Amino acid sequence: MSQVDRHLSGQASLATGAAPPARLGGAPSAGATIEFVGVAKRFWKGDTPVDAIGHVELVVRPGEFLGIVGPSGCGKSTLLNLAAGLMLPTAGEVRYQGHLVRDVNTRVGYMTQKDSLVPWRTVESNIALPLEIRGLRGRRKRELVAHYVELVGLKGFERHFPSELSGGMRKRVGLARTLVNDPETLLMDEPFGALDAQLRLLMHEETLRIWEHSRKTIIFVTHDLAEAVLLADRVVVISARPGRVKLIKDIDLPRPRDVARVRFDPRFGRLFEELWAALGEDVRRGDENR
Amino acid sequence: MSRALEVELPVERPGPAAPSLAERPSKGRRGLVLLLTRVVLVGAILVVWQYAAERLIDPFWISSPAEVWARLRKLAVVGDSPWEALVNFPSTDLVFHLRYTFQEMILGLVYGTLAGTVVGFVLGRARFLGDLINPLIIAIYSLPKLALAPLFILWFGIGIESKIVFSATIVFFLVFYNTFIGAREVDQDLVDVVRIFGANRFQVLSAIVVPSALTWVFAGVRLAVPYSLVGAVVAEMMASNRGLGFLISSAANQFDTGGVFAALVVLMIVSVSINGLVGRGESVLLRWKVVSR
Ligand SMILES: Nc1ncnc2c1ncn2[C@@H]1O[C@H](COP(=O)(O)OP(=O)(O)OP(=O)(O)O)[C@@H](O)[C@H]1O
Ligand SMILES: [Mg+2]
Repeated sequence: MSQVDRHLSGQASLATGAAPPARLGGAPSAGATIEFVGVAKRFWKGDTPVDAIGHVELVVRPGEFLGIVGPSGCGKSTLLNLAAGLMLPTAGEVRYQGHLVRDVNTRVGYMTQKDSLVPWRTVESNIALPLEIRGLRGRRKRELVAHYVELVGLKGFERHFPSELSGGMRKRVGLARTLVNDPETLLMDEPFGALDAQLRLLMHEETLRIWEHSRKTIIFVTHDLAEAVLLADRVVVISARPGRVKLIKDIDLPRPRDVARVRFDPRFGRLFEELWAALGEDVRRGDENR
Repeated sequence: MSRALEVELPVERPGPAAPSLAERPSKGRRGLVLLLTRVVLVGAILVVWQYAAERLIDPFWISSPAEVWARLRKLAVVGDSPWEALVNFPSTDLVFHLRYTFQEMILGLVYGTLAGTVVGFVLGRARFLGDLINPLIIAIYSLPKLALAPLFILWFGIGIESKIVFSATIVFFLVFYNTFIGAREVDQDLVDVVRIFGANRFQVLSAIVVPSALTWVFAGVRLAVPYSLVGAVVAEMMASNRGLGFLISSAANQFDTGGVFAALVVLMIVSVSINGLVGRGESVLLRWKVVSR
């Protein structure tokens, strides 16, 4: 067993190809991975307050795949920033596995909306960054990096700098950099927005495979409602700014899901329509607020 | 943009490096035409100059290409026959002066860069301290550095020390200011990224803050290299008995226009070569900035 495999035990590997054990729907609800308790967040733009989040109550269950959708500017990224401990709420509290988040939360892996790659590091050296911070070096580091470069389909681009890559490629480097660290919780902010349809499908499959093999909790923010329904156990609809939880919908589509076919399931259509209606009201209202 | 920039300072923002030759679409023909036109143009200027010196203007003022060539030859080689000239190039005399100027320039560059990087980084990271003394820095920065040369000669004598200090001072301010801004303008998103990966303070510095400031340091050094030569030469012109600056000023003092031009030609060759080298180094070090369009 190679060192890569050992590192990946519990995680998916493209190479093994073994069928993932089916994991059906909801996760065990013992405790919570992340809790937003009466969370509000206000920014100041000069002297005018901007209420990004009005009042959010939300429990993210251990091991679940949670999709978050909502109109632009409703505070989705802000929610993830709060969970990652990059900012503190104006009111209420954010808890991670029961502990109050007051500083940077190093237990999560955060794929931010902006790709935030280190511009002077090559693709492989960007992916190696979390490993270097953990003090990992030598062959083991190289093997892990090579594995994840391949996983996100960037073989041959290892020595390229971010400025030499397309937007979608940069996103994939960001994904690899997040995954290589094997975090127990993944925060993903529109990770696949810049990808073409085929690549997106592949990435969906890969994300689900990784999630099904590991016990990771994933919070997945997206503009694309279909993507959220496709992947998630539950989808949260956030209202227009100031953001509130408008609807939480259990996605009772069977697992493992075939991402290419699940769209044609009649249940998918019903779920989509119900969520779309909830989202639609707010998208219109969000526009009026501008 | 930071408020520190309200006063116009020659901060070289780290811009995209020149695209590498390999990427540039081939333009061999156009390049050749350009080259030929340039050669013809330079030739024409020399001919007009020579003609003017013989017929129109007293060579006392403008010398002449022939005379400058003769002076250059006398400066650079020993002996009369072409063979002797070739064997004796460059003359020990020229090497002596060049070495002196180079030494001042390199040491000025090294000391100025070291001091500028360290002080710029510290003040850039220590916000309060930086804000506190920012006006003082801008005041000193706005002072024409040339005005400091006599003071340095007074303090450090007419030997090599005063020239090194002068050159280093000029370099210091250029590098310092770039580093100062670079250390302040670190991308917070990148810092957040590594902090989530569990980086401690030292790792945040070494993985993000220092490399990001270093790109600004490079930009400052890039700007400072030609100025370090200026510093050395100007200080030599004020008080010295050796170096390129001395060659220029001593020829001028003897009303030897041809000698002045000859020394200027040497200075030009030196500075063009140095800038070429710096450009090379920059495109290697800042390869990641290459933006393909
Ligand atoms: N650091 C900040 N400083 C000031 N205002 C901010 C900051 N971050 C977010 N905001 C404001 O908070 C609101 C919510 O922003 P956020 O980025 O969370 O929205 P979003 O739901 O992620 O939008 P999108 O879908 O377009 O990414 C916006 O009005 C934004 O301008
Ligand atoms: Mg966002």
